[in-house]
Amino acid sequence: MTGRWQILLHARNFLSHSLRSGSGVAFIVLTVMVGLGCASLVFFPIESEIITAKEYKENAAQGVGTILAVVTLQPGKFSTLIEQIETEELVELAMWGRYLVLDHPVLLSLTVLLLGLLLPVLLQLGSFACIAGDVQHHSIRYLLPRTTRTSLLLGRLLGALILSWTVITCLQGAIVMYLGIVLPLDGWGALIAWGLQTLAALVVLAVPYVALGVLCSTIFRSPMVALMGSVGFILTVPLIAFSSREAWEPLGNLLYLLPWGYAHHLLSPDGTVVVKTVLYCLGHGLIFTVIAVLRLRRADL
Amino acid sequence: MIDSPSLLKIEQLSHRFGDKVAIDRIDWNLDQLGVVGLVGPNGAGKTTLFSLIAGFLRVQGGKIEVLGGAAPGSRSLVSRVAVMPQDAIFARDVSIVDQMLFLRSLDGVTGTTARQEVVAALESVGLADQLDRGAAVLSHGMGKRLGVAQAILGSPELILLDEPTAGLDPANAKQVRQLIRNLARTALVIVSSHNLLELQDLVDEVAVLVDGKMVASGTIDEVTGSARRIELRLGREILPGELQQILDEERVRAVHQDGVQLTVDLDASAKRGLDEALGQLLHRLLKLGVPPHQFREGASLEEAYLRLTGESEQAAAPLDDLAEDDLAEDDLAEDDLDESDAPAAAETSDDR
Repeated sequence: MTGRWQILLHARNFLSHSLRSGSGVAFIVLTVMVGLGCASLVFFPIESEIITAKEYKENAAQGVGTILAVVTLQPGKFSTLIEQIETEELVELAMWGRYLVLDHPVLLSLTVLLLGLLLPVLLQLGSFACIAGDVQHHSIRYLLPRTTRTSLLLGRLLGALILSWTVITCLQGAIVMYLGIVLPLDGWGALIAWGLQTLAALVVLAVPYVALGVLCSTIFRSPMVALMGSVGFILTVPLIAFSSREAWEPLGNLLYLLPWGYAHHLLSPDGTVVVKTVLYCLGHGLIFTVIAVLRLRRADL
Repeated sequence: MIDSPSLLKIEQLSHRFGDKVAIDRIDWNLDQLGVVGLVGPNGAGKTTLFSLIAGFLRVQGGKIEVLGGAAPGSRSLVSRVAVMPQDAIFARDVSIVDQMLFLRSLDGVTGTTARQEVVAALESVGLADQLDRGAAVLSHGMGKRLGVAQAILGSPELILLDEPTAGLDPANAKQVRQLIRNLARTALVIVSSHNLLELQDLVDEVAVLVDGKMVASGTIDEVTGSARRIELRLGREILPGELQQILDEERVRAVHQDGVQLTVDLDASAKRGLDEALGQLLHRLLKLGVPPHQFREGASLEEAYLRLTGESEQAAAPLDDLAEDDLAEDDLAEDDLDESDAPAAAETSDDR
């Protein structure tokens, strides 16, 4: 029995077990509900005000510009703003806003931007019990004589990724369908093309965060502690980075402990930047995975 | 027992949980197929030792070599070592047949073959009619049997069973014991249990753990010091003078009387020692005119266990009172015997 085959078996087993047990169902339901809720926040202005698409796009362009200003972490001082104008950084930002709002279906762009902020937390629900659940009940002891710890972890990680990707795809599919049928501001062709592109961005974004969830699941023996640990880490990193940057600017780089600092580049108009960002995300996921493997191989189970 | 090179070799193995020493410089070498018993009081380190051999715990000090030199948990041991952990539970929401099929698929066996093997394993522990039920609805005893069933899937060469018959009814316990005997033809089976009478009949060798130390290991004869306990039921109670005559026999170490029940510890160390010792005992009883109505081997291992673990001083003090040396000095007042017998009898009964 090769390790690769065992990894696939563990992944399949994790998927089927997740779907039969409460944790997997909770993950799917919560993610879809929160995702659709987030989408409805974006759709709400157009649904309630019934404004024209053109007017909405102009307003949205300002909104996206603000969001991008925040996510690119530019300090809000006037002097810095002048500097940015001089160095043409804001020009680039404006181009980016136009790319997301005018060149592509704006509602989908805004929804995906918002999902990019929420998914890191939601994805932990699909991975927190990967290892900790079996460790807590000692059922991992039935598996260990028949498999290696590395195969087990990689299989569970793959299973969690497939589950997360499936949920993200369903969510994105529902949003695109809704936009195409109920709020047909853009044609199906543009919606589907941009939907696939942004889906790919979310799929890549899921890799490091799912890997982080699995890492926490190997560190803590209780699934709930693992969940709190990973969610706490995801939320604490930007808080500490933003607040400590005021005291000493290099501390702002703490944001790069997670993909928070660069993940928005997955929607960049520059293809080279997108490829680099994909590699960063995968690298981040790889680092978390390697640490998780080392941790599990040395753990007393 | 069948010869086989180095199935399990442990050298100076130590393990701590914080300040608590769980395993203390154990040496143990098992190079033959068969059934080996691992006994010891609660907290002696049996489960920790199992976990170290199985690779669940990292070795902190010393060395373990499994099945010809592999370190516990190494890739070469995958599917060659089987474990029935004491406290592990199966997934509650998945049918037991699916869980067993998954375990078998990890060994590389799938499809009809896997299903046949799984059904056979479940049949051998009396769970064939529970195939499609989830583990959540299984009783404690059924869960135990499921644990045994997963351990015998495939062809493991080393099988570790942590209290496999605890909580089982007599019929199922007997079935599991028979299963263990069959497995021992092709594997080294290490069984931990508190049921010493059961182990005595089952195992080829035994090891005794006390406070993380291995205080004895070897065949039953070696561990019991060739002391054999015989239990007899007589036609009438024996008088103190007659009891002394029995004790005066060369091969009789100690005698314990409880009404018409007589428990005799014999010295079977010499060649044909047991035959000679039994001959002496029966000859004496016939001479006294009290032929035994019932005759059976008693818990020799239990006696050795109590002696080795020091529990005899607390739980089986009455036996010491009746030892040969003491009898020579003390009067054999019946009231004294009855008073001190009660706790010993209760203790033995509980253990079984």
